[in-house]
Parts: sequence; structure tokens; C-alpha cells
Amino acid sequence: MSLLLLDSYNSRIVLISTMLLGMASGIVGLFTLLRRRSLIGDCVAHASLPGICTAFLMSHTRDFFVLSLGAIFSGLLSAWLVSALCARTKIKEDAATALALSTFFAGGLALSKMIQTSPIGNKAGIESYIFGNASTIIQQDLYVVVGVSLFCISVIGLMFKEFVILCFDQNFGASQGFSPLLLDLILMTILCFCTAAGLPAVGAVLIVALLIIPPASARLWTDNIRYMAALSALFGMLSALIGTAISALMPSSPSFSGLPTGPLIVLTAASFFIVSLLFGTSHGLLHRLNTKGGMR
Amino acid sequence: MNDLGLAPEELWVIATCMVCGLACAIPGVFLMLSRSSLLADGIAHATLAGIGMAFLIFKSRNPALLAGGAFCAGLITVFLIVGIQKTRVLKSDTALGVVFTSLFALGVVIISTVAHDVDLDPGCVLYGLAEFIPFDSRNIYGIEVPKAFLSLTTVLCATVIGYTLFWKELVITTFDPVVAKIQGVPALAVRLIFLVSVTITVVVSFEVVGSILVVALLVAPAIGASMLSRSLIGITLLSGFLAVVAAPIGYLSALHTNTPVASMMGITLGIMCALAITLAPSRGLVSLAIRRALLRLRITEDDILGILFRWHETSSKIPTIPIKPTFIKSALQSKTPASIALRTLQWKGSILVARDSSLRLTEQGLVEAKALIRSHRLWETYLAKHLGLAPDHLHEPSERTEHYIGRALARDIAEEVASDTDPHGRDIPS
Amino acid sequence: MQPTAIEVHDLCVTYDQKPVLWDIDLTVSSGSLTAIVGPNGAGKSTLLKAAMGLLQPTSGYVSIFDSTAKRAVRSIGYVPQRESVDWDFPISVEEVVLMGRYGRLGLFRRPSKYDRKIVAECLDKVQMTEYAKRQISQLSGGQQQRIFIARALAQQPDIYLMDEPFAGIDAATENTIVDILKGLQKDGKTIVAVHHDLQTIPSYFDSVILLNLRLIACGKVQDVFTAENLQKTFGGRLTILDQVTEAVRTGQQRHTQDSETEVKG
Repeated sequence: MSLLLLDSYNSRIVLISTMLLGMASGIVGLFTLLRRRSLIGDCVAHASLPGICTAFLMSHTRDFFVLSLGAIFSGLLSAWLVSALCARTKIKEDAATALALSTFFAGGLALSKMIQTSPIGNKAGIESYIFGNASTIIQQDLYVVVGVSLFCISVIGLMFKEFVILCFDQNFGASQGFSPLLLDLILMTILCFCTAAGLPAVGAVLIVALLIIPPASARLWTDNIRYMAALSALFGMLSALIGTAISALMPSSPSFSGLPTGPLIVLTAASFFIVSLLFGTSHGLLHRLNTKGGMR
Repeated sequence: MNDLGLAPEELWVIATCMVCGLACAIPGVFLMLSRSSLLADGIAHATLAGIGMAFLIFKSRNPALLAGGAFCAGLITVFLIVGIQKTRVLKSDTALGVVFTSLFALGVVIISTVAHDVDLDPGCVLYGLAEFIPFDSRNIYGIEVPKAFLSLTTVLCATVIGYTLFWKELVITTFDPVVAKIQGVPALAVRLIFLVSVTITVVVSFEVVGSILVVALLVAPAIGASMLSRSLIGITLLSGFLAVVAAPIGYLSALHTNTPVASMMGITLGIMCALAITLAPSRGLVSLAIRRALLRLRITEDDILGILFRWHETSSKIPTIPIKPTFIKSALQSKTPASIALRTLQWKGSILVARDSSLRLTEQGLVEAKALIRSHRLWETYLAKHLGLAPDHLHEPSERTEHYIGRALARDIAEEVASDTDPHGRDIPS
Repeated sequence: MQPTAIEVHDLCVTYDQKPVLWDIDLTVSSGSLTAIVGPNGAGKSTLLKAAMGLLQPTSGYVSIFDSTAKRAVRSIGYVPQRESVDWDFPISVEEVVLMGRYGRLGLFRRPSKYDRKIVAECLDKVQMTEYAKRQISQLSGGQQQRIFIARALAQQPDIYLMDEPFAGIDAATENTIVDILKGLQKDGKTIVAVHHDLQTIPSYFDSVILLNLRLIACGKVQDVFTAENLQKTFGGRLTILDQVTEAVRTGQQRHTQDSETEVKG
């Protein structure tokens, strides 16, 4: 079976790109998790849908590079809206996030339905950005995904210590000359990049899972932030690999269109999480039971 | 029957959406107030797994069974979140994110695998099936009533009754759970029952509006209403009103653009919120901006009055030289253009502009200026006396504060400092 | 007369339209060990944050060795309140202290051997060497405070600003910290710390800033740490000042925010 998968050049590329994406989102998600902004990723991801649709309606191309620009733009817009609402009005962060998330997504759904019923050609696959479908990915998409993933990983790699200080003690960071505002902006921007890159394979609804579940699993195994980053990247990569493989290997028939890739990747990540939650060597539930019994 | 030329089926769709919006809007207010709007998002996503599981186990599309499954999934979500937080290192938002995405993914996978057996597919999970509401109906006394309408009406009635009966318990638990407990209100139970009611509402609304847009129905009316009203009752009623109004607007715009009703309803609510946030009479962004500009204008006016008064004060000793607007403009460092402030002062009758464009205080302007200078000098005296500030540090703070010291406060300060002159030796006008 | 390390000129700070510091004017001379004393809500932490340029003052300025606070910020070692961070954060003691080197490193650069050597020395100074590899959640309150101080030491600054370094710690840690502070003073460093325990002020510090929304007094302990000044600091608040504070807040709020609290009458 796995031979089949690695047979064609294209499926190999698909696998490599989703694995890279899993790594990138695992690492980026680590910092949004430590910054306690996990769920802003949900908002950004849902909000990327109207961006994609608008970009398509304006450009009439399916070129993923163009579409992801739209996704990044509307994702950033939603993140900005949330923080502006919190700063300027008395609306609390959770309500602002939920509001932006649901209304942007409503807009995205309406636009995608319009595209489906419109006479514009070359529209196949726009809908697959909702749940992700690795089989509709074409080669040019892959270059974008690979490029963006590598970019996100290298930004985090270069600015690792700055992000650590931002998440741990932003006041101290500011007192050392690291502007929390600027760092937050960079973090949000690469979050949007990562989300956009995840759209073809995982889709707008579930990409946030790749930003939350791998780092959350990694947190249960270690207290060292570097190991955590590595582990989170590994979990993300493996989830992407296994999920994509299952989706590709599933037989599809005329009555059964196959399983969407996104949910399968997320389920794989979730199983890693369950294992981590139980057996995690630092904070897993069994470990906690043991130490409690031993100490108290 | 109607001017819009809508068929009875379409009216039923609108009516169902109205009931659905109303049923969501009421719990939405308390979700917003207890800062758990995103929990609703989580529950809404997670119910999909329950629906899928129920279908897998019972092999039936019986709505009661599916709703039961969804309800269980909602509860499991809440418990899982609590369990994950037990690890201490994963906070509530992370726990929520892990649980709901996993359950949603599970739901999508189940529904995709069984999709060829049922007319359920991941798409309708997102869009809802508002358009198809009338096709599944029951005959009641000769009228074909859609089942979705019936179930939503039941939920709405239960919600209204429940919230009316337990209003005060709900309010105190939401506002201050600790005090609630001290007063003997079972805060935890109230909170749980509240979450259960939210779950039921979500499950029943799910079929009409889809899993993600139900969040819009829960959150948006409450946010919009909270911009327009301050009282809890007012917010609740208003949010219900917004939801009810959004239903026909959403339906008609969906009809015209050929888009799903649910997403158009979500967009309508989003636009309503945006309008409320920007245009709300007392707390909207526009009115805040206007009031900020008015404050700046008033401060500039005060400053002009101050300049004129001080000019009069000194020129009584030396021959009068007329003061010109250009001088005022150069003396002011305010953001509001001096010309506007000069015009409003003239219009109010506080200053007179002579033919040679020189400026003079009127009787009324003199009174106003005196009050202002009094505040300024009193505060300077106070700062010097009680805060021990050096004489060259007095003017700036007083310049900022003088605008806010009213007559009553000035009298109090005057009593406190008991002096006729300020630290610079100038008279404090009375 | 010692040269001036920190000069605060006419500083006013407003939080949510409410003035929390009124026209503070003071100087801290170089090489002094100064306590900031005042009741809760007197603006002590605010003064520290404003001194580092973390808060935008409504008026006035702070200069550090004759340059602006923003530019001089790296010559300041800041010890925040312990509660200000998440102690479950997944890093080790050593890494927290290493953060003190980040400001000097600048963007993209990674800490060198030399940096690690300094970190080891600082950990030694606070007697935490054996805990270097520990995760920070396993530390006691006193140990947490020690590593925060070690982090500031690792910055090798000329000025130390500490927010309640003695709050909630054990006696041994308190002695260690006092020794460190005295040692720093001997090396010519300037230290300003928010302090609560009035009894220990004369023995721990040589200068004191008495603060309660406004500056009550500032100077050598023997000169200004008097019963009369303490009465002014902790005794009755100035009702007029409070009233005016409230008037400014509501006056601006009526224009810039919705006015939940209208002044009556």
C-alpha cells in the first residue's frame, strides 16, 4: 500500500508538503498556545474563507498563491478586528473572537455558494478549502505550501528567544527593548501564513487543530521549551503524514467521494493527544496519579 | 397574504429562523456575560460527533435520537475540558480547542463515511438546511407545520419559562459566583443547567443554521444589544429583537443572491453588530469620536478665554493693545483649529470680534473666564501648598486640570487653601 | 554630591482617564539604595513602569543618566512582581536567567558561552546553582524571587528597578537579597525597590521615596523617613485630590468613554 502511495511523484510531493505544514503549524502553534491565544487561530482560520473567495472572484484564477494572499489578508483583518474591539469597546475577547469568527465564516460560506452557482469557469475545488482535500492539490499549490512552511519555521527559528520572552514575561521583554506589539504582530502574521498554507490539505474549519493539538500534546511530555517545539513539530508532521496517507489510500467509488483529508489529520493528531494525556511523562494523568501517590 | 409575494413555505422558513434566532439570543446574552462565548462555539462543533455516533449506533435518522447523541457530545465536551485542565499546564482555551476540533473532525469523518446512506453531508453541517424546513412537516389541525418550527418553538418556550423562573439565580451566578454560593444559590448547579440549556438550543438550532453559524446567532445579537442598552433586561429583549429582525432580512437577501439562508442571517447579524458598535447613541465609536472632538473644542475655547482674560488683566495697567486672532492661534497648541473655537465662542456670545478683527470678552465671557481662571489659580495654590510643587511646576498641571474643576469643587478647594492670591502673587478671581 | 541616576520631571500618569501619579518630581542619585514606600494604589509600580518607558506619561519625562528612558532602557535591570508571570511556563531556571542577556544580544543572535558563564555566576550569587536545570514551577516563592533577581543581575545594568522583591519570601532569601543589594551598591550600582515593611527600611536602604499619588518626600532615610512624613503618606488621603481625580476621570470619560459613573449634582 505504502508503495502505491510513494509511486507517483505527485503523491510524494503532497506528503512532503503536508508534513512540512504539520511541522510549521506545530511550532507556530506552540507560541500561540503559550501566549494564551490558541483560539485566535480558530478565528483567523475561519476568517480566511471569505478572503479566498474574494480573491477568486476578483482574479478568476485558481492560482493558490493569489488565493492565499486573500486568505492572509482577511485572516489578519479578523485578528486586528478582535484586538481593536477589545481595545476600543467594552466587548470581551472571547465574545469578540466568536463574533469575528462566525460572521467572517458566514460571509465565506455565502461567497463560496455564489461562486458555485456563478458562470465563472475554473472554479472546481474552491469548496475543498473548507475541509481540505489533498487529492485536489496541484503542483503549484505545493510550492506555495512548502515555501510558506519553510518561511514560518525559519522566522520562529531566528526569533526563538524573542518569542519565548514575549510569551513568558512581556513586560520584562519590553524593558529589554523587545516591543511586544511588534512581536505580536509578527506572530499573528506567521499564524495567518501558516493557516493559509494549511487550507488545501486541512481546510479552513480544522486547520486550527494543527495549531493547538500538537503543542498541547507536546506540553504533556516535557517542561523544556526546545524539546517541546521539536516534539510539537514531530506530532504535527506525523499527524499530517498518517492522515494524508489514510485519505489517499481510502478507496473512492461513485457513491462515496472518499474522506476529506483535514478531519483525518485532525483525528490522527487527536489520538496522539489522547496517548499524551494518559502517558505524558511530565504532566500526563497517569504520571500525576503516580506522583500524587508517592508524595502525599 | 403578503406584499413580498412569498409562498407559505417561504414564510415558514422565515418564521422558523425567527424562532431559532430568538431561542439562541436569550442564552447568548448570558454566554457573553459569563465570558464563555467560545465555549458555545466548542459545543456547537462537538455536537456533530454526537449526531454522527448516534446515527452509526442506531442506524436511524430519528431526530430525537440524533439530538440525544448531540446532547451527549455537548456534555462530553464540557467534561473533557474539565479533565484536561486537571493537568494544570493546559489552560481552558487550549483544552477547548483540542476537544472541539477533535470531535468535529470525528463527526465529519463519520458523516462522510455514511453519506451515501443518508442525505446528510459535511456541506449541510456548515450551511444548515433552512431552505428545506417546510419539506419535513406535520399536519396540525389542518395546517402543515414544519417539524423544525415545532421543536424550536418548544425549546424557545422552555427557555423563556426557565430563564424567567431562575432569572435572579442566573444573574447572580453569572455576575459573582462566590457571592451566589454564600447566599445559598447552588452556583455550580445553575451553571451546569445553563450550559445544558445552551447545548439543547445548539442541538435543535443546528439543523436549521448549521454548526458554525449557530455561534453567530448566539453571540452577535447579545453583542449588538450590549452596545445599545445598559440594563440586563434591556439587553436580553433587544438581542431577541435583533435576532428576530435578522431572520427576514437574511432570508430575503439569501433569496436575491442565491446563497444559504443561514450564512446570510449570520452576515446580517454581523452587519447589525458593526452598526451598533459604530453608531450606538451613547457608546458607539462615532459618538465617542464626536464627544472627544467636542471635549477638545471646549478645552480650546477655555484656553482662548484664559488668554483673553489674562490679556485684560495685564492691559488694565498698560495701554490697551487689541488682541488679534493670529496671536491666539500662535499661543494655542491645541489640535482643534482656533478659528472654529473662536467662531463657536462668538456664536455663544462669549467674545466680540471688532471691525479690525480684534477680540474682546463680553460680560458673559468675562464671567466664564473668571470661573476658569479661578479654577486654574486655586489648583495652582493647592498644588503648591499640599503637594509642595515648585512654582515653575504649577502652570502645566493646572492647565490640564482647570477644565474639569466645577463650581462646587472650586468652592471646596477655596476653603481648603484659604488664600486670595495664587503662588505667583496674582489675584484669584471670585 | 553624587551624580543623578534617575531624574523624574513633572511626571503625570493616567490609567483609564484616572490620574494615578500627580506631577512627580524627584531625583535618585547614582549609587543609592532607595525604597519606594506608600499604601496600596499609591502608584508605586506605575512609577517604576513609567521610569522604564513602559507607560506613556500624560506629561513630564524620566531621564536615565541624562538620556531618555526609552533609549536607556537596556541599562535598567527590571525585577517585576512575581505574580506577573505564569510559573507553569515550560522553561528552566537557567533559561529564565539567560533572558537577562537577550536585550544585549539583540535580534536573531543566540547566546554565547560567555553569556552562559555570566548566567552561571549570577545563579551562584543568588545561591541557586543547584537548581539551574529545574523547571520553574517546582520553585518556592523565595526561589522564584531569587531567579528574578539573578535575571536582572545577568543584564549587568547600572540601575536596578525592583517591584516588591521582598514580598512573600522566606527569611533566608530575604537575607540573601539584602546582601546582594548591598554588594551591588558597593559596586556603584543604583537600586530602587518598592518595599512594604517599614521596620526594615532604615537597615536595608539609605534613601526613600514616599509616595501616595503625589510625592510626599524623597531623600536620605535619616532626613525624610520621619513620623510626620509617614503620617502624610499613610494617614488620611487628601480628599480634595481624590475629588479632583474623580472629576478629571468623569469629565474625560463623559467625552471619551460611555459614562457609567456620572457625577451627581
